[in-house]
Amino acid sequence: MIFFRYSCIVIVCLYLSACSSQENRPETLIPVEERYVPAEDKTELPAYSGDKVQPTVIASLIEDSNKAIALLERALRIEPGNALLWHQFAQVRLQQSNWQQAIALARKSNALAGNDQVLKSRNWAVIASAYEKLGDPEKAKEARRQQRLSG
Amino acid sequence: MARKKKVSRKKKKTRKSVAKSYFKRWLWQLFVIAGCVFLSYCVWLNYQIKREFEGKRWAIPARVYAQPTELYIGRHYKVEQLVAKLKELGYKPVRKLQGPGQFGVNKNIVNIYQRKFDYWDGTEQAKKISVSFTQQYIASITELGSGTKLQIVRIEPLLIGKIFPLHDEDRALVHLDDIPQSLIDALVAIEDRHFYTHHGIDPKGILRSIYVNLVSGKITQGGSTLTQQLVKNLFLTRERTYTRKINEILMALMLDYHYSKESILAAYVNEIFLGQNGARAVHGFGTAAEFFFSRPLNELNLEQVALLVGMIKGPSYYNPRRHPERALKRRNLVLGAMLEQGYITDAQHQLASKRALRITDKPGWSSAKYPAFLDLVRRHLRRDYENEDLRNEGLQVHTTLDTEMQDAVEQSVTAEMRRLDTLANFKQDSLETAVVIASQNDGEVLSLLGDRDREQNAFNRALDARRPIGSLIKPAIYLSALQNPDQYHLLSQLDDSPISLTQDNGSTWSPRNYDNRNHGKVPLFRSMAKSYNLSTVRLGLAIGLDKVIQTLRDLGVRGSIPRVPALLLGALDLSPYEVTQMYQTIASGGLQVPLKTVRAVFDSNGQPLKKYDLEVREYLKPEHAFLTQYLLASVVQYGTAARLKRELPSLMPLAGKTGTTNDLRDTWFAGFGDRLLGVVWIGRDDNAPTKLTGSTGAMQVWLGIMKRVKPVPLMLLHPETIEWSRQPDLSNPPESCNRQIDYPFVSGKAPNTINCY
Repeated sequence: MIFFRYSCIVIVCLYLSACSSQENRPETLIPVEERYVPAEDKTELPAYSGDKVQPTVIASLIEDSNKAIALLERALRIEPGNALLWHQFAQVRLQQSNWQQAIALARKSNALAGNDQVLKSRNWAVIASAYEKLGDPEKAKEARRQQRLSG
Repeated sequence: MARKKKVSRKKKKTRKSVAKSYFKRWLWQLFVIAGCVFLSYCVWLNYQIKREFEGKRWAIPARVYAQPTELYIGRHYKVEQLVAKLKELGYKPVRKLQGPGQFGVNKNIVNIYQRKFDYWDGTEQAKKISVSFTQQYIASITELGSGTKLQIVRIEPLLIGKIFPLHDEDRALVHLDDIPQSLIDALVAIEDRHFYTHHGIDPKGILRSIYVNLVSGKITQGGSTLTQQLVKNLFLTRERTYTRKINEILMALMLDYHYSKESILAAYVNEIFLGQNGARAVHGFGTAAEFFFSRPLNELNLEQVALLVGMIKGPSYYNPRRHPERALKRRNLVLGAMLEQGYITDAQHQLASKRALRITDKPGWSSAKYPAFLDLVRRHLRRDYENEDLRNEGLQVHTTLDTEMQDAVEQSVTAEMRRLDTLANFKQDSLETAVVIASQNDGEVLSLLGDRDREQNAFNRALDARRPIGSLIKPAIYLSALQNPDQYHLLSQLDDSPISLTQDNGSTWSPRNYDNRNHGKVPLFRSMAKSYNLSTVRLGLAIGLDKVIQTLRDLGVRGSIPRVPALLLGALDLSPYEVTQMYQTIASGGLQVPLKTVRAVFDSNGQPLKKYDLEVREYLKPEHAFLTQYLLASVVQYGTAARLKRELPSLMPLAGKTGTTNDLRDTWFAGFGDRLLGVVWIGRDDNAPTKLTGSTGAMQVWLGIMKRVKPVPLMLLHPETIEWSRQPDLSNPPESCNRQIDYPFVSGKAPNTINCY
């Protein structure tokens, strides 16, 4: 019995060492015809149709973004003149597909951004994306132009 | 014959026995029927009890909270402010922090054992913190024990009111886990010492009470167990009859059979009647703790718990506010029983029975304190909730009320209104006022007052007094003009000469300036700063009433707007609340945020239900909003509100507008800095003249508030679409024209150098 138990351990150890030593060896190419394909692997896989996301996964993320909004609102109560916070708020709204809010918030951020051209450029990017989603290519184009000017 | 006799005797005998057996059977049947009736009655009772007890959902009033206090490094806050806040929340000053709801002060350091509270973005856990101050600023916050440096903590909000069930009960539900052991011990010791061993009734107790009652000839003693008392409170009337007593015993037995002792205790703790708060019944220990000690139940001391338990016997007889001596005696009796039965030690008993009652003089909340704001909260919630839910479901409503701001508003109103009474030579209290203070960037209503007497709210003037707004309309007219930068800019020449208009009804309307003078040619910004009427009417007519009405709509005015020339001088009835919304759009740089009073609603277990997010709408182009802000700042700089500049020199610039209506009936002021927007109205309910103007009336109250809260000055951050152009100073020509100053214009629309006029 003891022998059996030890022999098992020895076999596992040998197998592991073989695996690890194989990694260092140059890969020998095996002709396609000679490859052994197990029978069960021959079954056809269904066409890839994207992840099967459970509604709860998305719900949990939305819940998080709602929490993010609550935190941003809290931060804005303390520092309403902080342009970066308004920008982050706009970003969250963009992620939530709330395009009009994203635009309005990004504009508010721009009004407070002063000489921060990088932030302004980011705000214009938010505005451009939102207008694209809203199907307003003219305004999206103008926002992209402003984005380039700021950046 | 003898046989006959025998037979008849036999017959008699048989008849007798038949009658006897018939009677027996009848009796038996009666017994069976009675048994059946009794059984069905028991089944019915049993069904009733199970249904009532399991489906028992107490009507719990909605609890309305103010906003929490944020303590963060760098916040301008004083030790005294924090201490006052903690006291208001019912925190107890102690030498050593032992449990939540306590604090200690040591010079510039305040140690707090803060309470746990659920917010939308997470829970603020109960913890011991140390807040240190340097020169009126918070310098550091440290978690005691771990020594962790914290950046920001929230102290839980004040409970400012409740929305009560129709039958006027107050209840703060306590969960089984939150019931202090001392309460259970005290209850068992004084009310029902065999609670854990009996089956719902205590036969010895009943026998004793029957004996006492028989001897005295009337029902005086109960001998009820806790279970029986609960049954009485939940299912039965208060009358004292034997039928009710039998019902009570049956129901108590059934309740004990079906439910655990813990469930019965939990129900008892939440149900028992413990007093009267005005017309409102105080039910349960949770509510009683708030009502008598301003603290949650789990923070009560042994003697406080003993006092409440002692009151069960007779809540009004042992009312500690009305009969402190009786209450103290009864409390010590409870403590004695606890000692006798080994629930407390001798030392605990000694200490607790020596302590004074220390009943709070103010209950843990007061609906009377913020009636106007609570009215607004109720109106807000009614949009989303049924009245029933608000009254019964124990919703927790987190609002935007800033109690420190509200205090400042009330102090200013009290002081200034008294002064104005004397100034205008009115008899006391004939002038009325309404105030709204909001945070202009997120639209949160921080303070609301609907009556000069803070506790009155029969008529919430802040929401319901719709009065002509007078010159407060002018920014809408000037904004309309500035939206056409090809034609108008700040230095555009306006004509302040007399004008007469024929109205629709054939009458002639000839407006006049307040000083009864004509000012000839005036620059646009000065016409606004000085609130000239003639030039404004001419400007409004030039741009068109429809355009002005459209601008008012853009600024958030919802009701009907009369399309008459007098509109240009403020013939538009709005409430202070509506005016606040109108000015919010300008104050926040053109971004309209609907005014908000409720941040979030939670269910009775603290689970989030609904949040009211910050929603913004773009209504004005930033450059137009900026130019209007600039105009309103010049009103304070050298216009009708110049007194503000003299009184608050360190807080400049601020922006604002005075408003006065015909014959001085209404006086208004709307003003803002970088964060706060305030609107004040003063007038009389009978619409008689006030003898005051916007600047001598409403602005004084506004000034009083701002002196107390010290608003952040207006930043006047100009958007990229604004350019500055050097021009002669036209504020006070011809002398001022020697100076050159920069004026803002819409980019590309600045005029060439303007001649002095």
